[in-house]
Amino acid sequence: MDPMHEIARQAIEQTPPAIRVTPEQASVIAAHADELLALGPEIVQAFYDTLYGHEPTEAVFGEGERPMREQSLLDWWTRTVRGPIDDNYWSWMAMVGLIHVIRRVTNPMMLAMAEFVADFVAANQGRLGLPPEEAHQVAEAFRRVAGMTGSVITWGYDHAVSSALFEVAGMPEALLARLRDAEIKEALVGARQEVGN
Amino acid sequence: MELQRIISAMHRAIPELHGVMIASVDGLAVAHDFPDAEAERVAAMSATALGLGKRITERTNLGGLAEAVIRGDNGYLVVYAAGQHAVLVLSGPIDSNLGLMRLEARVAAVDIKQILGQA
Repeated sequence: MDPMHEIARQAIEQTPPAIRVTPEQASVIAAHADELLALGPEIVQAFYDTLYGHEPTEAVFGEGERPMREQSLLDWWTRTVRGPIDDNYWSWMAMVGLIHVIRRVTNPMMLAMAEFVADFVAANQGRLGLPPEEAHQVAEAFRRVAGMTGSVITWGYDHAVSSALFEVAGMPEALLARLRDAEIKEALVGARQEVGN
Repeated sequence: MELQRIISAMHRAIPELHGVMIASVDGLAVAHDFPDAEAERVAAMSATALGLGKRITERTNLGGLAEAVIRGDNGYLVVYAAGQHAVLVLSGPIDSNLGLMRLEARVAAVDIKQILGQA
């Protein structure tokens, strides 16, 4: 398997530069770290209330695990708002993709919750005590972070699955892609009939 | 083409063979005399068998993979490594002489490796 830094780099390079997290956006977040940190406990509470309020996401967690998971999210929140949002940060997110494979956290679950975080910041930007324009910049910066986090984690997840298949079954990625494409071409015929498109 | 010459030689040595293929380890048919409609899938599945066979021999301390033999009710598909990058695939009837296939495949694998190495 490629190192996490390499996986993160691959993910970021696939995204158009115009929608990556810019240094200015990272600075905007870091400049308001104290105000954002104050939202931490609340966002953690809301995040896990949401996950525990839905059977498929609740099923991810073991009994009595919530406090540990809440601390993990709070650690992520603290690191994100304090920064730096740099190569090490994104390599950490790539590693989260691997953890999600093991924990059976699917990409739809993860992407929805990345959006949840961005929405939470946007909905609470008025509480940051900042001028509206500045608060809006913070919310927009978080939306970029959430989007890029989704990109890096999904790439880490996909890479982990294909690397594991290579390790276990000796199937190079190009072979997997060939087999996958052949099967999907056939499945697509049925899918087009089903969807009528 | 030199690879086609190897395929022809294989058929001369083992006339009962149904098909011979040289594929890349990532499942692309390079030269073969299988029906075209089957070739793409045979190449991919054979590369899969080779990769999996190599992993099994590695993980179970069996040494290097000599061959991967798939036996069905109607015949055999036997897969050999031909160097690091190619797969040699032989398809034969249920009464195939596996020993002869092994001997011929060993010679052919050396030739294939040389040819592809020069390419």
